[in-house]
Amino acid sequence: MNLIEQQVWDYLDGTCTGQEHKKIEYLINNDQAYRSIYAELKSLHFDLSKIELDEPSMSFTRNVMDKVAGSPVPGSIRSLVDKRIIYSIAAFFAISMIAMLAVTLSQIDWTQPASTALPEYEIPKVNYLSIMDGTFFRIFLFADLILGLYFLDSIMRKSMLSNNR
Amino acid sequence: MQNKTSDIELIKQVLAGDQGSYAELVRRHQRFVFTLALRFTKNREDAEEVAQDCFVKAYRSLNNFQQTAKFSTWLYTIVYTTSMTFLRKKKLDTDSIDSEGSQIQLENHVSDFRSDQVEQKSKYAYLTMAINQLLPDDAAIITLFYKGEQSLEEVAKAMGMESNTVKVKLHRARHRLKEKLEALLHHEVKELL
Repeated sequence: MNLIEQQVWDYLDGTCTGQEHKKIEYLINNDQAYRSIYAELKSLHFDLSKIELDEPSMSFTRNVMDKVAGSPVPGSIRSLVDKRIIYSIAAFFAISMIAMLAVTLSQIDWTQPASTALPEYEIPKVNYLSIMDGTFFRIFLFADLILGLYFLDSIMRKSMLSNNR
Repeated sequence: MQNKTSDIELIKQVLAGDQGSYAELVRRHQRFVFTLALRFTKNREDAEEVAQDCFVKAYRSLNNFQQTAKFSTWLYTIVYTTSMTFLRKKKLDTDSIDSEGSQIQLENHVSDFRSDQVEQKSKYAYLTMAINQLLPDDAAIITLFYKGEQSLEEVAKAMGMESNTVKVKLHRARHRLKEKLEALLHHEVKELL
């Protein structure tokens, strides 16, 4: 693209400075090369602003609204969960962790033991069979089974809904 | 100005829970969004899909829209990024669009027009044909600038570029458009002779 064209486009778009604008205007009025390019580009500039936009299908808006219908109101989830609540929970956990760390550190005996040998520690023996036979264990298994069936049901419902759509 | 205020009013209503107001926003901007998507996809079916996708995305993130800016500029940003993603997914070779694909489209258009009487062709039809032959980026920049009522700064914002880059790209796009138009008209004159 030549310089004249570029200058004329800047003039037509109104993106040149006041001084440049006057200079190009003068050249258009007095220079044949500028004048012919100006006439050509001005016509194209005008035509471009007059071309028609394409029209989508008649059902366009309806299709969009159908897709949008299942979505929650924008921002509704965020507005329900106040940021202050999240910060409070975070602060609670942070303070708890710091407090536990402080208590643990304060209870440590920092004095160096006379001997470097580690104290002996015997791991208590656990009778796992007695736990497995217990009533509580059975209740625990039964609750797990109920929860498992509940989640399976919700997953199947979701997949059925998406298949219907 | 009136249009801008109305858009923002509608957005407030949507955010307050009135989903029906969004239909009005869609109706208001659908032609431009569809045209812009068409500049990238080069066929109506894909353009319709991309345009619908843009409106759904816009709805879902409507609460992120800064109501100090123009809704159209924000919406066109979504159209631009969604269209680019679409092109990447389709793995379209932009060079082949310029040569082969649009050549086929052009031939179809010409034959359609020929059957509809050549003398009824308007310069706007030629202009649209020439725009369809441009690379997606060039076609989009021209459409945004001339039909989207967007300033160079707003076009730059929508395309995620610097204003000066957009200015240079616009100059080049118009230059290429002029060349395509001249080639088309030259071809037509030869056909008539």
